[in-house]
Amino acid sequence: MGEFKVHRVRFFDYMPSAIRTMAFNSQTERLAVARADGAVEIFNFNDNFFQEKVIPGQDGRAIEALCWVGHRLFSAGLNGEITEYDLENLRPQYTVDAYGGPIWTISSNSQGTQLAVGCEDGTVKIFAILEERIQFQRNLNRHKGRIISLCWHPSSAQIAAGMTDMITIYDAETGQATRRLLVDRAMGASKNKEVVVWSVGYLSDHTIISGDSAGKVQIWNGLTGTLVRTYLVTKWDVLSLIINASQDESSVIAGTSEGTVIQFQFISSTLDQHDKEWVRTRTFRNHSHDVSALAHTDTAVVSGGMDTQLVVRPLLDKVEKNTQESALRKIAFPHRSLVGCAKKAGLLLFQFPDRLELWKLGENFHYVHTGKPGDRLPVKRKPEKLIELKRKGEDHICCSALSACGGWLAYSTVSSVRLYRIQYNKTISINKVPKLPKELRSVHQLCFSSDSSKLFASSCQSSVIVVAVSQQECRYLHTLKHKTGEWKARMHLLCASDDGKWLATANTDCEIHIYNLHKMKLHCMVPVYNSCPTTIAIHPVTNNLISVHADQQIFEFSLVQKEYTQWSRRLQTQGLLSLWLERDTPITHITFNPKNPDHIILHDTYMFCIIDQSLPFPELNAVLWNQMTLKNLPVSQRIGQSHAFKICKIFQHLMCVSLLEDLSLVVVERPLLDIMSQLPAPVRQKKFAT
Amino acid sequence: MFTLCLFTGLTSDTGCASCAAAGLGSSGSGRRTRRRLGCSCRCCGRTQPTFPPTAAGRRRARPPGTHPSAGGRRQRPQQRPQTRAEKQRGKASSTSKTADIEKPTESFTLSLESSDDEAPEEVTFEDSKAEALRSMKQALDTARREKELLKEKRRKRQELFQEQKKRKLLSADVLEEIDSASSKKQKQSEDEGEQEEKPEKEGGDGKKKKKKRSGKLANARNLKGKYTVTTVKERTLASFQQQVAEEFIRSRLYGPGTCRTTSNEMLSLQNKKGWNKSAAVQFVKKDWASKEKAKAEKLKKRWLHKQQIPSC
Repeated sequence: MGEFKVHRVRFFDYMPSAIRTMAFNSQTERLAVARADGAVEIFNFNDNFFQEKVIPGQDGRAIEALCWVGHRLFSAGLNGEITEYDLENLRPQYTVDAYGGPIWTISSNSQGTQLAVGCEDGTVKIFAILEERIQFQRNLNRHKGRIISLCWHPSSAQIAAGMTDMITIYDAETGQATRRLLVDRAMGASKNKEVVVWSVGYLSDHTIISGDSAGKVQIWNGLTGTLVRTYLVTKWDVLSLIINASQDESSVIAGTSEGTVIQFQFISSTLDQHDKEWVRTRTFRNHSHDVSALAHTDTAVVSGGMDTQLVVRPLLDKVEKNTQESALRKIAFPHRSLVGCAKKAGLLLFQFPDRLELWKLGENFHYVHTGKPGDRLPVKRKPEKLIELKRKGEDHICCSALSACGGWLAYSTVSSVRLYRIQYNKTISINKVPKLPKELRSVHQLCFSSDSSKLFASSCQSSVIVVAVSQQECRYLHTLKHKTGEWKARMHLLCASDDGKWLATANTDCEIHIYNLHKMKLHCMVPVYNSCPTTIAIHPVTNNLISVHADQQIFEFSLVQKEYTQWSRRLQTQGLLSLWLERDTPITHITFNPKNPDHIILHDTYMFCIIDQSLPFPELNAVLWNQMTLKNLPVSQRIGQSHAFKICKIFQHLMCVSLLEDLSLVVVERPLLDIMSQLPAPVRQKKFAT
Repeated sequence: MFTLCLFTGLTSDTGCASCAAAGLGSSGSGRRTRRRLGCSCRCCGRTQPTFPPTAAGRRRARPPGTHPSAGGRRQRPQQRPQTRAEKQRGKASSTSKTADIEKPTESFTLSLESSDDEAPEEVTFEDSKAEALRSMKQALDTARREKELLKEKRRKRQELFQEQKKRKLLSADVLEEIDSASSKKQKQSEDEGEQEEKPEKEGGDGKKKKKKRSGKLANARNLKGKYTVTTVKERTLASFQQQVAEEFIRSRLYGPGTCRTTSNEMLSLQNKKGWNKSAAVQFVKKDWASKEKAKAEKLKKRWLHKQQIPSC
């Protein structure tokens, strides 16, 4: 299958941001996740938990709460503003100042007509949700102390508000506080410390469930204002609590600082009795740090927190056992590539929210060519950081691109695009290209043509802007549109062919369009598959388009004949192995081997794979990861055993795998342990016998 | 026993009490007493300049032999007459100069107390006057010499201190070795800074100034101590409130009494409890706690260097 010199890159210090809060929309099956740096990510639970949208963050936008109202997404943060997001163009649509200081929580009523926010100054403010905006209606009666948590009664007549040391029930009509439920403080040394009700839930039978900083989950009767039951769950805080409101409200989950998620269920304690009560049932321990965000889908518990991972834990009484559905999923890395690679120049571009880093790969001594696989080569020149480019302004970087020759670098934020010319003559110099065409303003994806003469940018109206870049100037050439005047989903993937004739784009509506760059118009559209493409690439020799989708399917589409290739049809009829389909991270990057056009190299987080198109597909009962057995076989028998999928798992937690022009493989790793070591402090737990 | 020991009151068997006190007691107090007394004894006046003013022995006992009368045992009893002498001197100082002149005679008479029956020796006025003048002159001389000596001593001491300080410092090559890592980094960053600036430089003459200023800024980064350079930003009420709110969360989750540990400890505990037991993380992972390790390395180098210098 070939031998490669491998650059094992471990200097990409990618550090994901902690998950602050999340909200699940059960109608569209979308999960919105807000991170500590202000970024909002949308995961599609119908499509293999694919992260289909990322709204880049902003300095100072500390999101504390998210709320879906139908298809609209609202967030509120400590900067005191309520923001509605434009989910098509991935940017805040508008912000409204609540004038109550930092906002701790936001909640909508079940009809989706009103929005309640809890502010630092102790007011609960009601906003009316109108067509294109929200409008302030009134304040509920003000209390001293900040409102930390809010929950509407399903009838929209009452609101429960969690504060310090108490829970207040408001009448939503009159704005009067009807009841005050006093919450006990923690026992022992922290008795003088106020207890904070971090989270509160209101059920339709007027049961109120609260989670507080003393580690209690308490069940109250909201009608009488009495405490029904107290569960001491942890020694630390119960940070989050959520009810499966879309279903029968019979399950509540609570997340703690310990990293555990605890489920409570409304069931009868004995089989034959009918009187039901809240019982603590399950404990999930999937996090090492505080669980600050929770979502309850119909079949799974979704949790996230300080350890930056999103964990989807299926409830085994709701799903079929031993299927792909019942598997635990951890999403640690973004489902898009943050690494750019200049194949000709041997440069790597790392994208951080606040900066870009350009690195030059190291070199080994050329006389060393012998050695077994797995040997370390002596390094002649260490990799060096050439440029660290800090972004301007408050908006975080949403995409970046590096041209194949390494001479051009572009990045984009929500508001602007910047293009730089990089020159290497002994010292490196970087010049900003002035006067970019005004069409380049809001861009979701950037891509250079292979000869670095053109820059493609996917813009807001589902169009692609083509810009010619040269030493002298940067000139707008054309806007590629597939249908004029129609508002469509944004493009999240761009790919230009090596010969400069084709451009492929993919959008979040799962459509893939092919443009002819010589004629500057739409060439054809790939038949729509019902799963979102995670990456696309055009083969440099055959000009076939390879697309890999969120459900792990692989397609090859001939651009010239405008149809799926024979190879693709064979693959579909034979079917992919279940081991391949059950992988839980999407393929995020495809490269090709310039020496052997049959080889397609693709990778996900845990492996990289070389697909040899000349070899037969594995039988359905064959072993998929068969590299070890092949290694032990004599050469003559290898041919009979080998199949198209060559999988390598030596390198783990991959951010990028790419093949340079000198046929050396670049593998960018980011070990999870390194991320974990930089996380904030976990709680101190006493383990037996340590 | 010591009934007399005034300025010139020399008895043949005792020697100079003030000198003995000065030589044997703690040097500071001795010196002080002598100066106050305005000592003019003959024996010490001559021998003192020969004291080797060794720096090392500045607090050590006077080398034996320089003062024959300075016996170790006499230290205690000699202090008593001194006080008396001081008292007497206090009285004497109140009198006029002429009284000073009369003093020797008085002391002389006192010294002959034991032989009462002998007739007083006759001393002419001129003789006694000359004697008194001489003694006064001697006293002045001694005082001056004393002062000079003291000056010399201080100077020597100062020199010694400086020399010691110099010896304590690490040699240049070691310092260079220690600093090389950090300076390299700085250089790199400066280089990058220059790269960033280059486009501006090409922009024209007007931007040259800018470059200069930014160069200065780069230097300002090397401020010693805990100073950081920040740009002054307008702080609004909202941002202040936001900060308060963030502080609230922080103190609630990570403040005192929250019982937090470090990731190092947590991971080490995992190593300890897992199936594959291994050492604590900072030993397993090479790049862990690199800052602390670098510091330890630096301290080790320093220590090694210290060991190489022979202790003085």
